[in-house]
Amino acid sequence: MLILTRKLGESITIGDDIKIQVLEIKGKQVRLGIQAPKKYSIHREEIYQRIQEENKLAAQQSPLSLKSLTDIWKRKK
Amino acid sequence: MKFDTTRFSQIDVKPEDILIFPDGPLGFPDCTRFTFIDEERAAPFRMLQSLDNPALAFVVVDPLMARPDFQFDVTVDDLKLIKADNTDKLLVYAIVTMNRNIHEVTINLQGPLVINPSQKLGHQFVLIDTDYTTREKLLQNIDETVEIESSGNEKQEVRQKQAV
Repeated sequence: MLILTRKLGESITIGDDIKIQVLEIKGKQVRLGIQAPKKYSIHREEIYQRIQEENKLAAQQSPLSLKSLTDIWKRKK
Repeated sequence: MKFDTTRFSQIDVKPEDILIFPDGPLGFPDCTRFTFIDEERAAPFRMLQSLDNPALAFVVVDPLMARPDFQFDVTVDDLKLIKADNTDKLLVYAIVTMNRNIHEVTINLQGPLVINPSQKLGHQFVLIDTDYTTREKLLQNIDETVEIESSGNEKQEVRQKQAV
């Protein structure tokens, strides 16, 4: 991993079209400004990972059939 | 076109029934082609079957069925991902995480699937400024209902309240 030290207001650039700037430092929190082309989706890593993990969990074969889920759901509603 | 699937064996999918998720659902970047499969008596739950990975299928549901007040903001740039000008005709689905215990069945309201039917394009959105999580209980008021059901008269009152 490339490690760079930056001060408040300073930036790093990645390639021609991505710029990341340190906007604010408050205790243990750092605010970053990110400029990048639309084709890149930018996420907070933990949210991105959480959704990825949930997708993988949801993709597993279920022990509960869809029909029984529907039956119970309709009854409970 | 014929596709092999793990759950439904071989299925025949019309070209117009194929949905493209250009980025794939998160964690499945290579799975871009999907189709809906509706099992008998399974509505409002539907299967979103991958046409690139026979074993990959998601149970999905209209989030409004479970959370009538569910909503989120999208930007014009978000909509460009599915070539939509506005949100009028878009379909939104939440992925369901099944569980042996019905009370533990959850829906992912932080990563809703948004589909533009006219372009056959879909994208999994990631909601950042939201209170919704990836693991919202499908049956959120159930415990309450079950408890009160045993005490006779109050039953109807509770049902009405939930219907409002």
